[in-house]
Amino acid sequence: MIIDLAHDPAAFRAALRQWLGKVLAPGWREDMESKGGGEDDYIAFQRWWFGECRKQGLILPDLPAELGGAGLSLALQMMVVEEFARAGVPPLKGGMYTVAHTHVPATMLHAASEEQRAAYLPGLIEGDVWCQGFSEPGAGSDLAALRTRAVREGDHFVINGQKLWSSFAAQAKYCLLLARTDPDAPKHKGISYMIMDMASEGVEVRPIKQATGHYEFCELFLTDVRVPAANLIGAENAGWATAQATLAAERGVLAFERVERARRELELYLARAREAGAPWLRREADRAEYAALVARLQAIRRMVRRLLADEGEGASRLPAFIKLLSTQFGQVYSDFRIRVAGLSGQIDRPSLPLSGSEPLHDYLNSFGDTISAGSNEIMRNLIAERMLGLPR
Amino acid sequence: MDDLEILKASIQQVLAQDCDARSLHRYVDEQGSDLAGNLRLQAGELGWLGIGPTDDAGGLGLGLPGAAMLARELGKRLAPGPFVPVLVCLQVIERFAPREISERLLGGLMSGERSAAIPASFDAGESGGLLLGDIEQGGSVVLLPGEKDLVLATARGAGEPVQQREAWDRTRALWDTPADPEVLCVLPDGAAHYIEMCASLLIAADTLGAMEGLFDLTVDFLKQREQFGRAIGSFQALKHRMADLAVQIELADCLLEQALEAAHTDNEGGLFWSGMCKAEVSDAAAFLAGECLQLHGAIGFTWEHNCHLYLKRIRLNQALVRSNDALRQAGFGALEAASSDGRSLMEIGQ
Ligand SMILES: Cc1cc2nc3c(=O)[nH]c(=O)nc-3n(C[C@H](O)[C@H](O)[C@H](O)COP(=O)(O)OP(=O)(O)OC[C@H]3O[C@@H](n4cnc5c(N)ncnc54)[C@H](O)[C@@H]3O)c2cc1C
Repeated sequence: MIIDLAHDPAAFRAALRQWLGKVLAPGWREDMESKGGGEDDYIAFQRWWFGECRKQGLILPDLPAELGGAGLSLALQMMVVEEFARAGVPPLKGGMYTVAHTHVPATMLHAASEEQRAAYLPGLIEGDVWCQGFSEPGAGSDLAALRTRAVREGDHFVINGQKLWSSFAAQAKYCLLLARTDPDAPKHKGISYMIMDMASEGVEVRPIKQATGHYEFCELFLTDVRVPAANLIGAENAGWATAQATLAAERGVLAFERVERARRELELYLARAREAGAPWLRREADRAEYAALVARLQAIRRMVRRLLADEGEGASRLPAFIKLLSTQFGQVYSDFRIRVAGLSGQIDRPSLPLSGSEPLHDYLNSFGDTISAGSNEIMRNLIAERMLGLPR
Repeated sequence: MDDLEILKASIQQVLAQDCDARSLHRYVDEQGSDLAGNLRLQAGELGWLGIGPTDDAGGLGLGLPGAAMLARELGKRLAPGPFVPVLVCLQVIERFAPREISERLLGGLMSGERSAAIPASFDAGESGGLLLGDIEQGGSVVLLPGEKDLVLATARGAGEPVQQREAWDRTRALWDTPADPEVLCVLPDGAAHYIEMCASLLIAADTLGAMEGLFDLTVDFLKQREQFGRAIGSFQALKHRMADLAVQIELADCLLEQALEAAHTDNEGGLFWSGMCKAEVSDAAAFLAGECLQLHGAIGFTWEHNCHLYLKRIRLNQALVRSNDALRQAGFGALEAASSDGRSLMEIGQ
């Protein structure tokens, strides 16, 4: 297994690179797209890819060794991300495994009991899919307005309510659920955090078709769902703080991954254009715009490195900047590609819900990033009030 | 704190006292103030101007990163004077001039007694031969375009005085090319790129400082000014504009770091990144200057306020070195060449 070489970074990188060079045939993306790239194919593909990575011991490499992970250092985690991006293969923690591999460990490390860790962490390495049940019809940016009720009955909670926009809930085995346990307390103080088994009676999942044509996020209808009280993460009514830990997991290495992938895509875009003799290479406005994109992305890559290197002041200031900039970058870069592509970019072709495919697909998908994980407007509020000290 | 940080703190302290708004406005209004001359001498005395050159040459040995830090602090305070030209000439002379010439010139430049001027633009036909800096008869060091390469010269004492062109930005000066300079040496191949790289970097640093100075001024104003019974900084429409500007400043800082690192490690990347840095930072700064003036309301439209001084300094910077479009065109050329050789200009060292 490649992970066994983690003590020797140079050998580790070499082995990764060699494996990545042969595990997926270079034309895999085009192959899948030409087959139609249906929802089921894509799900099956993700499971297959997970299995290949698992054979190399790469699943949850950052989890501390005592919890069953490989305890990879930050530098090696960055190396893995770089090599995956360089090879143009799907991300290690992407798609339907995002919540399981990013949000669940962060939440568990923050607040879960020994028993809960022992019960759920091994399953992550087996390929359990998790979803996040936070948002509701009436609770988006104002998450603390959530109304799904959890009423204690003996050693169970009984849940009633509706969740919305829960990504990959249709594939998920468990859900990280936020529900209101004390309707009389101030809104941040009456929320509890629990693990809900998606196979429980009373859980109904309806996939929602997205602007890209794909089905990723879902609506959850919860009717008298019984969740054991043992599934409570942290104390009753103390779920808000844990929810913040879940959301904070989206920073750091995930941001690193986003910008490293963007870098490869941007460079590949020019290389392909040169090979094809694309007309935009002769247009001054496009040349200038491309050069400016390179400069902007490089500055963002440096900012992400600053964040990862800084435990102090930067750790509070930079995440909001990086969220705004890196998600905006995805939008302006795909916007550039749409304009360059002209009519050919307007012809509907099947495309995988992975970035780096059709420009219009990537552009639409980029709104998922600018809207979720604290919309960019919410980020601006945060920067203005918390960092600049402008009055509320 | 490292040396650079300690020095920065003391530069900030001195400038806060000696380059305050009142002195600045007296200078700009030509009320018999020689703020520029005094600051230059003081910068020499305190050793700031020698920040770049090595120990051997009598400097602090902090190189371009040191010079960029100084330029940034000076820009933040709108310090008047030929600082960027002096810093560029110091770098260039130490690196390229024959020993007897550098011995003759470095001391005076570092002490603040000699001023300097460099081409205001490297775009063919664009500059009309204009120089940026200060030309004092006799002593000033000037970098001039020669037949093929740049030449190092001093302005002569005799003859017609060199004509100064009044710029909108009164904290710096533009000059016609001296009619009869004393040519000291022709600079070797490669010097032209290096000079342009230094000029781009230091102009970008000055611009970033100006962005920070104007931004901080605006944040303070938004907290104090009240309308409709509350501080205008509480209006979300204004908050979001300020948040976006804060992000642009951080981005500019990262780009300057990138350019400084590239300047240090290799030649091709050095020219590419310094040019892109100057282009992106100065365009972002021009946008910021407009936003900040608007958010001040009428007070920002007055001569007494610093808003317009920042705006004019930033606009001059935007036009210096090369047009930003020319820099991006050249930048794309470098990207295309690297791509066809299978190289990348985006590597980041650990
Ligand atoms: C692709 C995708 C995947 C998602 N996956 C999940 C998931 O797995 N689990 C989950 O729980 N949720 C998920 N979400 C939901 C996401 O968290 C919410 O969309 C987000 O919190 C915003 O809420 P909203 O969509 O209701 O928009 P709203 O909050 O209604 O916002 C609408 C607009 O108003 C702006 N706005 C709102 N409040 C303010 C304010 N105070 N100041 C200024 N502007 C404001 C917003 O920025 C936005 O532009 C996902 C969303 C997307 C797009």
